[in-house]
Formats: sequence, structure tokens, C-alpha cells
Amino acid sequence: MMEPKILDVRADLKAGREPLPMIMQAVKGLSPGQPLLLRATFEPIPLYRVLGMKGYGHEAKRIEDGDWEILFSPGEKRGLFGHRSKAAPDDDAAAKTSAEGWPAPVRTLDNRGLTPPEPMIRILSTLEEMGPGEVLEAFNDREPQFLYPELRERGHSIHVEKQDQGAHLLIRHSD
Amino acid sequence: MNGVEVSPWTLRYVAVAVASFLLAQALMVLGLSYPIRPLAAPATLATVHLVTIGWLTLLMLGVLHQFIPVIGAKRLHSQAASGVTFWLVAGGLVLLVLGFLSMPSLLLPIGGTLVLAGVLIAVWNLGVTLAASRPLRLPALYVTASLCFLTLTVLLGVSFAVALTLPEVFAPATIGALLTRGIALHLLGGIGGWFGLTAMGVADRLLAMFALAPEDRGRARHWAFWLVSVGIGASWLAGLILTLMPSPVVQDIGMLGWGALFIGVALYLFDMRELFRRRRRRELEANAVFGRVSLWALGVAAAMTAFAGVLSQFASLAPALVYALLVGWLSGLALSQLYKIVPFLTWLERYGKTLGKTRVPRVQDLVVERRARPMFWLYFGGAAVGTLGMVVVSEWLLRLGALLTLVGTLGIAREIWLVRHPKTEPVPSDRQSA
Repeated sequence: MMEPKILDVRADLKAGREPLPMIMQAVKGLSPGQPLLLRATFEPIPLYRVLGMKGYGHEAKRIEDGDWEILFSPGEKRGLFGHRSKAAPDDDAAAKTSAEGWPAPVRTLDNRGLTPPEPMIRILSTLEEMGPGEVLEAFNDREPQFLYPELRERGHSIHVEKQDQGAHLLIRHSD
Repeated sequence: MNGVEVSPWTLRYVAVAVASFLLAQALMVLGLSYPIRPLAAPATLATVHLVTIGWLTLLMLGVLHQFIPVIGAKRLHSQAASGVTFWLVAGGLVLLVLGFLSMPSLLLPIGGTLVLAGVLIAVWNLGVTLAASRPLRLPALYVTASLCFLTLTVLLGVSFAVALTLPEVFAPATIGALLTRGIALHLLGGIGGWFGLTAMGVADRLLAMFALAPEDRGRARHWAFWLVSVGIGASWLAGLILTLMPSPVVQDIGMLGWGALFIGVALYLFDMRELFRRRRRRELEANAVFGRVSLWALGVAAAMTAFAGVLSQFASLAPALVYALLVGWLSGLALSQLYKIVPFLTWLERYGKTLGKTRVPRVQDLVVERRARPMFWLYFGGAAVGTLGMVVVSEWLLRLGALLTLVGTLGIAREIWLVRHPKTEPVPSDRQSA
């Protein structure tokens, strides 16, 4: 196994800084096949999903002072809830839009547990508050089919990752 | 970026469907159908087909042209074909109804052929859309199976029309078999296969979505689908073979099929109870409340079937059973879901463009549940009275039941009309829609 890159965010967490951009930045900087060793003050469960969707498995263990050390290693693609993603044939142009080269999300919406059309309203309202080129991330129970025509109309681009139990959306504000 | 567009045809299907249902109920109130007239009387047949083709088939086809793209995340293969189906089925229905009223008339096979043509186009159009969205999840599997039974049912219907008006086409023995066992297959395939499986699949998705219930409710959900669809398929095929040759083995397979169907319905009802029990939304909206009431009607129908089986009274209870299924369960469910579907589509159409830019009303601000709820109770009360009227074969109870369902349907139709044509512009309520 390749030597893992080590990232310690404990000091940032204690200082109240949001660690996600740093982590995503670090992931971006990994060479192909390289694992990431993350140290944090708590078990970052939401991160498992986010990195799982990027194809990273995780192994967590407790270290001194109740802190956590998690080894994220590239490998099998995992779904939102740790299932293996179904290899659904995806000829949707929507899903094909690659999110590669997009900046890290500046806003995250958890739309799970909302009845339609509320996820769509939240996404469109949040986008109105965002600037050109910024990325919004959203977790939905299902693909928001009626959202796509509105995004297209407004010139925003979307990257969709379908999961067994929902969808992970990255939406980039029009330039 | 694909996404699904709002079908321009769905609401036209809905409008003609509701009009057919109102007309059929009015005919029942006037006493122009069973039990005042015999089951096979022209007016009864015209009324029944206004309900089955005009109301339920048009409605379900209209909804499926919107529902299948949404559940499969694939655009409808052809919107134009959806329009062709609409005109063929609606036009065929008019000829069929006139044909029944002037039996024997060539209008019957002509109307039947038009309906068949429309249905085949829909099955192709929806089938291609479904095929593109594989792997299919449970609601899509329900619909795939139901479209097969739709085709079989309409094919049988056209054969009846030909047998009744051009008897020289078939051998006399075939006509005899068609008009006895064939009718049973027509009913089983139509009510159980086409309407039943569609209703089960659509309810599985819509009720879970709007009541915020999980999809992984356990094995019963999947077993229900397989038992019901394979059960109906097995008894249907057995029935077909038995019209051609007597065979005790096939008869046993047919009985097994009925057994599987019965157990499947019980599991389905159990799963639906789980759905409501495990929902995260406490306060239910009218579509879910009355969707649940319609499931009670299915439960009552299942209990009636068990009762009829124990007493060997199946033949005499069959009309009541059909009434409970068509009016209580299927039509009740259809009305309750329309009360959600139409406001939702209307809201999208009206406010989609301005979402996020200005405050818009919620979907619920487009409806007035306070006025609609009594109408639904009137409807379901009427369905119960009518079913009782069928059981005791009381003309007056049946007509009273039909009057109550008619008034209820009119009230609900008015509420839906007002969603499309509001007297005052709906305003955003205080509760922010986020």
C-alpha cells in the first residue's frame, strides 16, 4: 500500500474552523491509489458518505484522548449509506456532467425527509443567494426530476450521483 | 441535463376520466344499470365501461404517462404518442358506449379496435420508457406487469365485441367459451391485473413519498408484488387453458394462483400498514388520509372474498365484490391521489419559473382541504352503502350509495377545478415553504 497522506484537523476543529474544505482539498491532492489518514476529535460519519461516493473505503479507530483516526483508502465505490453503488446505466446527460475541476461546495443542503417539492424550492432559493461558479451540494431522498428543467433554464450545471437510497447532487452556479 | 417535463396530456386524460365517472354514477342514480337492469343488459354494460375505460383506464394511462418518466428518471419516449392514445381511447369509448346501447352493432368492434389501438400505442410508448430506465424498482415492476394485463384485457374485450356482432368469425363453441370463462378472465385481468397492479404500484410510491415513509419496509413489500402478479397470471393462464380443454392439474394451478393472489393482497395491506406506521410525517394530508381509507375498502373486499369462499357463495357475492373494488378501492384511491397530483402539476406549471426568486405559495396553499374532506367522507360513505346494496341486492340502497358517491365526486371535482381555475390568486402562507 502506498504511504498515506496525513491530515490532522483536530486543531482546526477546536478552533471552530470548518474542516470540510481542507479535507476535500487534501483528497484532491492525493496521487492515484494513495490513501488519506485523517485525525479528528470525533468520528466524521457524514464524511464517510461523501468520500465513499468518491470511491474511498474507510477504517476508523479510536486513538488517545478519545480522538479518532480514519484511514480512507481508494477502492470499491460505495453508496450513500455504505452500500455498493448500483451500476445503474446512466445515459442521463445530467449525471454525465463531470464535477471534476469544480471548486469544493460552499453550501450543503440535507433535503432528506422533506416532501416534494420542498427539496427543489430549497435548492433554487439557495442558488439565488450564491455567486457565479460556486458549488452547492445537496443530499436528496430521490432524484429531483422536475428540478432539472429549471436548472437548465437558469444556466446552472448539475452532477448527480444516484445512490441506492437517494441522490447526491453537486450544482454549479452559472458563471 | 435531462429531467422530466410536465406532460401536456395528463390533465386532458384526467378531465375526460372524471367526466366519464360522473356520467356513470348519474346513470346508476337514475336506475339505468344493475341491479335494476340485468348484469348483461346494454345499459349496465355501457355504465360499467364508462367506469372501466372512461374513468379508470383513461385516468391511469394519463397518470402513467407522467409517473413512469418520474420514477424511472427517463423522459417519456413520445409525448405525441400520448396524445394519439388519448384520442383513440376516448373516441373508441364513445363508439363503444353507443354500440352497447344499440347492441348488436358494428360500433362495438369498431370502438373496441380504436381502444385497442390506443392501448397498444401506450404500451409501446410506456414500455420503451420503462425499458430505458432499467433496472426497474418495485413501482416500475408493478406497472410493467399491469401493462401486460391491460393488453390481454383489451384483446379479450375486442374478441367479445366481434363474437357479439360478427358471430360467423368464431366457431360456436368458441363463442360459448368466450362469453362464459372469457368474461371471468376479462374481469380478473382488468380489475386485478390492470387496475389493481397499477394502483398498488402507484400507491406504493406516492403514499411513501408524501407520508415520508421508508422504502425498505421489509420483505412483505416485495412478496406482495410477486404473489399478486404471479397469482393473477397463473389463474388467468389456467382459465384460458381450461376454456380449450378440461384438465384437473390446470384447475389446481388456477386455484393456487387465486390463493397466491389472496395472500399477496394480505401482505400488501400489511406492508401498507407498515408504511403508515413508520412514516415520519405525523399530520397527513388529505391524499394520504383518503388513500388509506381506500385501502380499507380493499381490506373489506378481501374479507368478503374469504367469507364468500368459506360459504361457497362466490358467484352471488361477485357483483358486490366488484363494486367494492371498483368504487371503494380503485376509484377512491384515484380521487384521493388526483387531489395531490393535479395541485402538484399545477403548482409546477405556475411557479416553476419563479422558484427561489420570489416567495411562492406552497402546493398546499392551492387547495382547501377543509372543504374537500367532507366530500371524500361522503364519497366513501356512499361506496360503503352501495356495496351493502349489492350484497343484499337492494335497488334503493344501491341508488342511494350512487347518489352519495356522485355528490362526493362532484365536490372533489369542483375542488380540483378550483385549483386549475382559482377565483383569487393563492398567497404564500405564513409558514415558509422551505
